[in-house]
Order: sequence, then structure tokens, then C-alpha cells
Amino acid sequence: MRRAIVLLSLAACHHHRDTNAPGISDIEVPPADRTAAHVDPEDPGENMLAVIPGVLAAGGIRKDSPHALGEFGPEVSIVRGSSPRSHSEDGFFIYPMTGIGGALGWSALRVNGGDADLGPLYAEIYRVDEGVAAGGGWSWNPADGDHGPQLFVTSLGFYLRGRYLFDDGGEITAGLQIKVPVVWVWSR
Amino acid sequence: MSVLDRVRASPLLHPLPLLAGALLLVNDHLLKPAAWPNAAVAGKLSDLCGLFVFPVLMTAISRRRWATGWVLATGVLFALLKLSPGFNRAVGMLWGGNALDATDLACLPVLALSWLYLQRGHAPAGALRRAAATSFIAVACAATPAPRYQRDFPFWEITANATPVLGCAETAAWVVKSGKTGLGLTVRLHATGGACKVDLTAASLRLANGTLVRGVPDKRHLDLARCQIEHVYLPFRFDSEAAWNLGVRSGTIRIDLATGGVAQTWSMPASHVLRAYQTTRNTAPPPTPPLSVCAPDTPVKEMAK
Repeated sequence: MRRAIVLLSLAACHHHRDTNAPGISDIEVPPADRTAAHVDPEDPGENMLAVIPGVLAAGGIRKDSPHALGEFGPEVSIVRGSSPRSHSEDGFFIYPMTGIGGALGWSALRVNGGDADLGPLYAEIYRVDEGVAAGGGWSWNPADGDHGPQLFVTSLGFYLRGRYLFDDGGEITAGLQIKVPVVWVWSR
Repeated sequence: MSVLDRVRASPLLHPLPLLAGALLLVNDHLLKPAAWPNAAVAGKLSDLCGLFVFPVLMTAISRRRWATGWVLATGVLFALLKLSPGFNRAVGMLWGGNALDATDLACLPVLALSWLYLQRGHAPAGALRRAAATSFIAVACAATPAPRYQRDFPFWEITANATPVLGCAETAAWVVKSGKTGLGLTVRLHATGGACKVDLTAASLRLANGTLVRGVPDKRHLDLARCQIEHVYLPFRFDSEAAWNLGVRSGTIRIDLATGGVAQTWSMPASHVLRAYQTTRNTAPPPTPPLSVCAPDTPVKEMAK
């Protein structure tokens, strides 16, 4: 099972578009070697649009008793971003290093004091910088109508989330997210 | 049973798999990128080491009695990797690129050595040594080679009439620079027909959508001695990125010049070409057009003879 999860986490795919494809070259300046056949353009970096579905699993604590909390659920996010250097096909992951995004998720299964319940839906917006994403949003539980704000930070597949539901109170969860990005890549 | 329990008498704790793992790391990260001693040997060395060590690693973290199964599975997966384009692509997405090369199957017999090695007994060892050996070999197997690809970019190319003889000068032209802001042309002039005076009077690039771009050569007047070669740089500055995005990817370069006092017009079709989004690193650039042999002026003494 663990190996399946590792493989799933690596199963990224991406698609190239040729928009803005020419590289950077100082046309006005003659080549240093006047007999050169070819001067390679410089890399302008890449733009990306990533659609990233995945699952999140976390444990944490909540203000009200029983305090221990576990949750598991799906999430899909969309990130529009860029990378200063173009990716290499050898790489495991293609993911915008800088960008902004939004996510829709559902803390579908919440285990709290031996009870398993459906958790809240949530929507978030966030910013990615150097591979670290941070943002916030709003959660709403259709089962009981409880709702409230939430904040999160994530990097390298790990995340930390704080949520405040107006009826249930505050909670903090930390866990792992396994996502399979589908990325459209084009030149900057 | 935990993974550490399974490797209590680990087959990894022996100089053979440790050496194979070390060779795999060195080869993938140092020798392959440098193609040393050459690309074929470096590629085969990785295959040999990987084929030997992978069944040993899998046996170490699973069960000893599965050793034969792991050897067979490694052989089947390796053969698929080297023969099936679809499987090769799928593995490439997960694990990094791997050459689709049927000649690599010549490395398969090393699996017999791996199987023989797994049949021998293995001395028990401490938990720390077992964990260190397992981690090292796992990293060696999982680590992908150094990047073998890099971004490729569209480049303008002369598609015809790149090497005409114009009067006393043998000429050649090629696009030496190409980017978002235009292209730079190198014009080579070779006075094969004796001393030759060349005047570049005008240059233009007409794109397929009718846009006209003027080029300004960095040298306009050249007095070439017999067999002398000169290179003139001729930049055409325009929004090549916008043209690319609009699908305007061809044009005609026209150079008006006079060689030996005779006016000439040199027209060359050009295309903006992207071969692939990525290309192999360190690909050799295309060669410049070959030069004709040019015999220098015969010395007076030789003439007298």
C-alpha cells in the first residue's frame, strides 16, 4: 500500500504548449566568435497551469473534548504560476514554484473520540512561493450548517491547517497530502 | 514483520551489492552526463549494476523465498522497459528517462549472478548497519541520472540558397542568433575568385504576413584579398515572439550587394522552426557551410619556373 501511495504521488503528467516559445538572445550584439554556427538562446523560464487533485490525511487537536481528531478527504486545486527555469523531462515533478491558486476540498471523514462523521467542505485561495504554499479560506459543514475561516501552509507534501468553526470551536491539523498534478507548460 | 526485521540477515550487507550501488550512483551522476568513456558503455554499466542490485534490494525488504520471483520480475520489467515504447514512456514519467534500446538486453545475464548471489547465506548484522545499507542501495536505485534534457527553442533557419557564388565572392549565410527580439544572420564572404571588393547596400526580411524588417550589417564595405574570408553580422530586430504566436513562421531574407562592382540580389527563404520542446543536452550545433579550397596567389618565382 505504501509503495502504491509513493508511485501515485509520482504519477504526474504534463503537456507542452508552444506559446512564447522563442528564447532570449541579444540580437544587436554579434556573436563573440564571428565564425560560430549557433548561439543558444537563454532560458526565459516557464508559465504553468496546474490542476492538482489529491487526497489529504491528517491528525490534530480541537478545542472541545474529545480533543484528538483525525480527518481524511479529497481536494482539487488549480494553480497559475511560473518557474524561473524551464523544467527538464528527467524531473519527477513539474510544479509552479511561484503562483497563485485556489482549492476546493472536503474533510470527508472526521474521526473524533471514536465517532466517524462527515466533515466540512471548504474553499481556499493561496499563494505559492519557492515551493511553499500558504493561504486561507472558508469551511462549511452542510450536515449541521457550522462554518468558519481556515488557514493553511504546505510544502513538500506536508500541510498544517488551522480552522475555526463557530459552533465547534478551533482545531489544528497536520498531515500529508498526496496529489497528482496535471500541468500545462508554456514558455515565459 | 517490519522492514528492518526482514533485513536482519540482509543480502545487502556484502561488498558486491554495496559496490554495485556505489557504481550505479557514480555512473548515473558523473560518467553518464560526461558520456565517459562513451555513452554506450556508461549506459550499459548502469544497466548491469541496476540489474544486479535491484532484485537484491527487493529481496532484502520483502522475503528471502521471493528472491527467484524478484529476479524474474526484474528481467521481465527490464525487457519491457527496453522494448515497449508505451511502457518506457510510463516509467519515464514516474522515474525519469530511460533509453529505449534493445541492445541493453545484452545485460540480462547479470540477473543469473544476482540469483546465484541470493542463494548464499548472509551473516546477521546490527540494525544500524542494515538500515544504512538498505537506505544507500535504495537511494542508488531510486536516484535518477543527472538531467539529460534541456529546453529547446524555435530557431530561424535558412532553408535554401544559403551558399551562392556571387561574382568574385563565394558566400554563405546562416542564422547564428534567434530569439524573442529577432534574428541575427552571419554572412560569410570568401574571395575565391581573386581580390574582391564587396559592398552590402541593403538587407531586409519580409515575413509571411508582409511585415518588412530592415537589417543593418556591421560592415558594409569590404576589400577582400584573394582567399580572404570575412564574416559580417546582420541583425534583424522585430517581435519574433509575436510573429511566432501569430503563426507567422516563415519569410524571405533579401540582401542587395555588389561584388567586384557588379550589383547582385541574394534572396533566401527562411523558416522559424521548433524541433521539440526538449532536446538532449550538449547536442552539437549544426556545422557551418563548408569552405571551398582556395589556392593563394602563386608566388612570382613559381610563375617564372
